[in-house]
Amino acid sequence: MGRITEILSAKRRFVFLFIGMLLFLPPLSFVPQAAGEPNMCGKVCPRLFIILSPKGILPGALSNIQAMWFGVMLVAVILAVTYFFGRLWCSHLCPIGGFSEMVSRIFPGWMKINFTGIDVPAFRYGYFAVFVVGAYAGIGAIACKLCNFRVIPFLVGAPFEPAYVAYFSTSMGLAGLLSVSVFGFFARGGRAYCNLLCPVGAMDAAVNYIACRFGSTRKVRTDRERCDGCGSCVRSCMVGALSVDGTLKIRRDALVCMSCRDCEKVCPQGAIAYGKGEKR
Amino acid sequence: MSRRFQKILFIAVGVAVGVLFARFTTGDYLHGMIVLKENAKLKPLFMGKTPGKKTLALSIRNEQGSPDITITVKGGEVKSFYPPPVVLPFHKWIAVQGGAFRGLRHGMRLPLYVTLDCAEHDYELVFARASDGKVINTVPILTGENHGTHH
Repeated sequence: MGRITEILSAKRRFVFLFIGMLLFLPPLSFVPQAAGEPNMCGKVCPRLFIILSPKGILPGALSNIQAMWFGVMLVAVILAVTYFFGRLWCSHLCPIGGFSEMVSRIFPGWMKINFTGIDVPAFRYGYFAVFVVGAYAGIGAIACKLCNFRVIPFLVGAPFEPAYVAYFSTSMGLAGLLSVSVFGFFARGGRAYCNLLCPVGAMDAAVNYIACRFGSTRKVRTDRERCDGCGSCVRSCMVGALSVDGTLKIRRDALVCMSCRDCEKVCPQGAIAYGKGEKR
Repeated sequence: MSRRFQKILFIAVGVAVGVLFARFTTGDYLHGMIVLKENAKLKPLFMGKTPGKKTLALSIRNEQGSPDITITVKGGEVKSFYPPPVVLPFHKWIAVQGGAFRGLRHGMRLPLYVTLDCAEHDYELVFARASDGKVINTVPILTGENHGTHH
């Protein structure tokens, strides 16, 4: 009984991710259907509304908020939860990141691309800037092109709906599948898309970074007194948020950390814990 | 490599990837939006001249009065992912059969996939009333430059 409880506890995040997939992905699409959509596009889209419209910033924003009201509400709730409790949406509920992560676990390590050498915050906010201002600045809109919020629901829904198959029979659909494969299915940890290209992830990470400064918010925190710099957590981190600094202590990058708490489980010193506390 | 230089380098790489994605287009796929109004002059859509099947992903905003319409295109097929495969009871969905759409509400969005055959000629997307077959509006689909717009 104790062993079962232990396994369930270790895999609790996956249970949440699976629930997230059932709630948001076809064929059930429980949450999107509440907003009148069969997938995560249209009113439910949590990304398009942040794009500055070439027709004018304010009228464009109002029109986008009206068109994607459910996505706006969803992002507002995600950011509020992140501020107080850490990035629980990204790590525990996001059906898109969760699906990528679960698929990536099927493949052996040698097949995976390691993106941990990239300076994630620098890359992410460079890309995010183009995502937001691209259309307004005349560069072009990234918008739905290669969007994993389109590719993954369509992929999961394809056995049930011929229209989704039509998308994958185009080169754009295949390019989307390729981007999700490279940055998700075949990425170490399965979360490179989340960490490098997802605009919701970029906003979420920024809120997490700010909220970490306040000890009154719940976050994954390291007790630097107890940390002996063994590096177990660094190896377990799926997003490469941890590193051993010059003082042989763990340094956590709050702009990258996804609050998955995998590091907490592997720390032999018990130096990592989720909760309120000091700045880091 | 200094930390500051590394930051600047990765910001530049992020911007470059963003620009690459923003400028990325394929000749066989166009993402467009149509505001469907009766008797309004609708702008044509332009498809690339690449050989093979082409797909138009259209988001149609219904601004016309008829609840039941048919959408057809000669030499192509109209598909929609409405309604979902499992319909839950808390939303009233439109009924879709082939190119016939029943139960449309004013202002609602209708996502469509229009798959066109391999021929290199122009097409016409025809919106008609299901009851009497009267044409509500038409949208020319011209082959040539590929510069679809997005919402």
